[in-house]
Amino acid sequence: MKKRKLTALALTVCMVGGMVAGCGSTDAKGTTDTAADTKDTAATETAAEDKDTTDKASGDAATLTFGVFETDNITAEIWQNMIDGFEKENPDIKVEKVLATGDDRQAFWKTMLSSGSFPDIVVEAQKLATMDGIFAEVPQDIQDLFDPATLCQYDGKCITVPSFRQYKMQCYYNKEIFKELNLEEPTTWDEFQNVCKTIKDAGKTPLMCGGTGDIWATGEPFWIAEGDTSLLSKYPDFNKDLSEGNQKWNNETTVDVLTKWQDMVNAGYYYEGAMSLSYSQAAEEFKKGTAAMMIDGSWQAAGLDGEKNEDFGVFAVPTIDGSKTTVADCSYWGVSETCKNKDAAFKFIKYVYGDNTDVYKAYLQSDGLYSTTKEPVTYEQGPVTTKFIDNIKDWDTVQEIIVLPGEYAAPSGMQSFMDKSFQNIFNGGDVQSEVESWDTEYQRLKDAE
Amino acid sequence: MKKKKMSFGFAAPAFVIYTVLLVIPILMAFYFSLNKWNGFNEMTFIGLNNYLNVFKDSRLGNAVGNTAVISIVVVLVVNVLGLGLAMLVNKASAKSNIFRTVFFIPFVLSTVAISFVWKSILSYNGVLNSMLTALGQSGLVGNWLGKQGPAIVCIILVEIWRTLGYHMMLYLAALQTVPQELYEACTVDGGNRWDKFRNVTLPLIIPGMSVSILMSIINELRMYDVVKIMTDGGPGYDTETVVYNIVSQGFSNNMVGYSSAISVVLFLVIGAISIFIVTKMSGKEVEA
Amino acid sequence: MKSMHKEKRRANIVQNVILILLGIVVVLPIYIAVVNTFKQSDLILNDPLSIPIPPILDNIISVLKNPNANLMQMYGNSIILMVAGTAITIVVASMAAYYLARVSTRFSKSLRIYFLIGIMVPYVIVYLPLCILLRNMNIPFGVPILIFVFVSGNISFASFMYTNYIHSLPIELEEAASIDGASQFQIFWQILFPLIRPCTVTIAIFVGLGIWNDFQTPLLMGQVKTITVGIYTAVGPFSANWGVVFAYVFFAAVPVIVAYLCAQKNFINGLTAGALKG
Repeated sequence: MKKRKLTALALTVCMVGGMVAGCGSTDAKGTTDTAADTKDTAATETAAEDKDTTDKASGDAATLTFGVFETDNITAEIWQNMIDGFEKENPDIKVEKVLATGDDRQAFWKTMLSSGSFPDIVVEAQKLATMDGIFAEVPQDIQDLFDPATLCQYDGKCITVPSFRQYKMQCYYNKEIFKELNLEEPTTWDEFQNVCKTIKDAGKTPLMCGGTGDIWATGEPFWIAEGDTSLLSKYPDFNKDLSEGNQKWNNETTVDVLTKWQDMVNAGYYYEGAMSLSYSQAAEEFKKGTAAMMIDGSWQAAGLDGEKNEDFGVFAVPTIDGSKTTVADCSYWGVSETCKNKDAAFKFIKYVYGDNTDVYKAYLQSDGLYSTTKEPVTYEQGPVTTKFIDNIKDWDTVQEIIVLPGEYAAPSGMQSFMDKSFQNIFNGGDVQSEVESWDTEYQRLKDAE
Repeated sequence: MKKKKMSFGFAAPAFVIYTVLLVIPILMAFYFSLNKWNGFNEMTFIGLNNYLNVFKDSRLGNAVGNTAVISIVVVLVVNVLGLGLAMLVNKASAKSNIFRTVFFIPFVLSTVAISFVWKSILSYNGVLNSMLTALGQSGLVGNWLGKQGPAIVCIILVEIWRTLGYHMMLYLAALQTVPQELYEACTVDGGNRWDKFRNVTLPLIIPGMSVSILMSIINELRMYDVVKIMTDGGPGYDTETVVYNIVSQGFSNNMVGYSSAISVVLFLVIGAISIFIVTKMSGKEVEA
Repeated sequence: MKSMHKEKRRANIVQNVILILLGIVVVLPIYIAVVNTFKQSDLILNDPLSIPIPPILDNIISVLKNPNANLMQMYGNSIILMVAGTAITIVVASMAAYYLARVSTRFSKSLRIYFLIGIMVPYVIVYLPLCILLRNMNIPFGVPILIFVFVSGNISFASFMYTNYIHSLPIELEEAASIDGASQFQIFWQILFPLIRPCTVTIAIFVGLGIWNDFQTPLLMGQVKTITVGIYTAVGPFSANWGVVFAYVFFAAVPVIVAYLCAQKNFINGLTAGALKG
C-alpha cells in the first residue's frame, strides 16, 4: 500500500514534467523558450560543477589526454617514449594518448571539440588557435624555453608553443629512371616541364600524388611548392591583406599556378590512379617505381634515411617565377582551456622541450624536423636530408599562407576546403570558378568564427 | 476495461529518456537553425537566413544531386529486383532456404566492414584491377573511386549489394500473406502467370511494398557510412551526400546554425515522403 | 501436359541459374575478404581468389599487435553497449507500451504519436545539439551516456512494436490477476512480459544488431572505440596493406556472421518483421 503511494507521488511529478514538455511539442514558440531555458540552467550548473572538479583534481593523481597523430615516421613508439619518460619522472600524472583519425585531422580535432572530448594537449594547435578561447595562455617560464622568433600571438596572447620547424615540398625522384632517361635535376620551371615530358614520352609516369584517402596529398605538395612561393614573393603581406580585405585569392598568380598544374594533370604527368590512393599508398607506389617523381615534404627524406634507402634523390622544385623561395612551417602545441590540470599539462610540455633533449631529438629526427627551442637541438642527418637542406641553402624561407599562425591566420576549415578544391581542379574542375569559391568560403568561414 | 488507474509511471522512464536525448536535441536543432553560431561564442539570431543559404549553397546542391541519384537508382533496383528474387525463392525447399540465408548476409554485416572490403576491391591498386590485369584485360582497368561518375556508380552498387537481400525478405514476407486459393481461382479463370501477378500478387502485397519502398528511401537519404569510408566524399566533394555535408558543416566547419538548418530541411523532407507514401499506399490498399 | 512439364523445368533451370549467379555476386566480396585475410599482400593482388594453403596468420597477428587497436577494449565496449542498450530499450519500451496499449485516454493517444515521431527522424539532426547539450550538462562522453543515446533512438520503434503486440493480446488474464490482488507491476512482469516474448526477440535482434553495427553515433559522439569505430581508426589512412585491412574486417564481421548463421530465422524475422510492423 505504502509502496503504491510512493510510486503515485513519483508519477505525479513525472506527469507534471511530462505535461510541460508535452505541451511544448505542440506549441512551437513555447518549445524554443523551454529549450533555451534548459540551456541556461545547464550552463550555470556547468560553471558550478567545473569549479568543483578543478578543486578536487588538484590533489589527486591527474590524467592528461594528449592528442596526437601518427604517420609512417612519427610512430606510436615516439609518443609512447615521450609519455613513458614523463610518467616515470611524474608518477602522480598519467598521460593518455588520443589518436587523430580520418584523412582530415583538422576536422577530427573539431569533432572532438564539438563533442566535448577535446584532449588536454594537442600537437596541431595552430589549426584551431584562431577560434577564441580554445587554448590556455602559456606561462612565461614555458615561453622562455623557445626561440622568440618562432613564438606567435593571438589577440595579444601567447596560447601555443612552437613544436618544430619543417621544410616543405621538394621533389623526390627515382635515380634509376633519371639515369635510364639521361635526366638531370631541373633548375628552372621549363627544365622541370621538360623532365616531365621526357618521362611521359618514354611511357612512364612522371609524378605521383595521393587522393581521397588523404585529401591534402593531392594538391598541397604542388601548391606549397609553387603557389605559396609565387604569391608570397609577389605579395609579401598576402595574409594581412587578405584578412583585411585588400587582397583576394582570386588573382592572376593563383590562377596561373593552378592552370599550370591542371595542364600538367591534363598532359598525363600524374599517375592515373592517384585519386584513389592514400598518402602512404602513394609513397609506397612511388618507392616501387610506379612514378618517377613525387613532390613531398622533408619527412620523406627522413623516412628514406631511416630505411638507409639510397635509390632516391631530391631537388628543390623550380619556382614558376624563378624566385628562390621555399616554405618552412612551424607547428604548435596547445593546452586546452578546458584542461582540468593545466599545471600538469605545462609540466609535460616542459619535460619534452626543456628537461629531456633525447625525447625531443627522437621526435625531430623521425620526421626530418628542426628544433624551435632557444637551445637548438640537432641530430645527425642522413644523406637525403642533407641534400634536402643543401638544395635550399641560400633560399628565402616563407611560411605557408594557410597555416601562418597568429593574427592574420586563415580561418580554420579553409585548408580542407582548399584541399578539396585542388582535387576538383585535378579532376578537371574550372580553375577560375574554383578560385572564386576560395574567396567566398574564406569570407564565410571567417564570419562563422 | 473501464478507466482503470493505470499509471503513467510505466511510460515515464521511456518518456524521460526519449524526451531528453531525442526530442530536446531536435528542438534545439530547430532553434539553432535560426541563429548564426559556431558552437562556442555568442549566438546571433538571424531568422531564416540559414534556410535561404541552404538554397544558394552549390556544394550542398551537389550533395543533394548525389543523394537524389543514389536514392532513385537504389530504390528502383532493390525494389524491382527484390520482388523478383522474392518470387523466385518463395517456395519451401532446402535450396531456396540456402539462397535466402546467403542473400541476407550482407545486411547483417556492419557497413564499416563491407565498405572496407569493397574499397579494397575497387581501389585503383585493388583486387579488381589486379584481377583484370592478370586476365590480360588491362584495357578495362579503371579509376573506379577516383572520378565522380564511376565513384557514384560504385557507391550505388555497394548499396544495392548491401540491401537487396533485406528487401527480398520484406517482399517474401508480403508474398507469404497471399492465400494460395486466390492463385488457384485465377488459374481456373484461365489467367496466365502475368495475370496472376497483376491481379493477385500485386494488389495483395501493396502494404509490404510500401514498407519496402519507404525503408529504402529513408535508408538512402540517410546515407553516410559507405561514402565516408569508400571515398570520404571525394574526389573533391564529388561524392558527398546530404548527411555527409551536414556532418562536415556542423562538426568540421563549426557552422552549427547552418548545419542544423540543413538537417531540419532533411527531417521535413523525410517526414513528408513518409507521410505521402503511407497515405497514398493505404489508399490503394482500400481499393484492392 | 508433358510439354507444360518440360516448360516448367526449363523455367526452373533458368531461375536456378539466375539465383546461383546472383548468389555468387553476393558472396564473392565476402569470400575475397575471408580468404585474403590469410594471405600475404603480394599474393592478394596476384591471385585474390585462391584458397590460401597453408593459411598465413601474419595479418591477424599484426592486428593483434597493433598498439592503436585494443581489440579487447573494442569488443568490450561494443558488447556493453549492445547488451545494456538492448536490455534497457526492452524494459522501458515494453513498460511504456503496456501503458499505451491498455490506457485509452486522450493523453495516452497523444503520447503514442509523440513516441512515433522518432521513427522518421534522420538521426544526423540529433548529434550536434546532443553533443552541445551533454557538454553543457557536463556529462562526460563515453560508454554510459552512449547507452542511453542508443536507447533514446530505439524507443520509438520498440514501443510501437510492443504496443501493437500487447493490443492483440486478450486482457482477461490481466483482469483476473488484478482481481487476485496483484499489483500492476506484478501483472506486467509476471504475466504480460512472458507473453510478449516473441516480440522481445524481434526487438532484441533489430536493436542489438543496429547498435553493434552503428558507426556514426560512436564516431561523432566522442569517438568511443567500439568495434566499428576502432577498426575505422586502426585501418586509418596509413594502411597500404590490404591483408591487414581484411584482417580487421574479419574481426568485425566474424561475431556477427556466426551469430547470424546460428540463429538466422530469428535474424531474418527480427529485421523484416521490425520493418513490416514498424
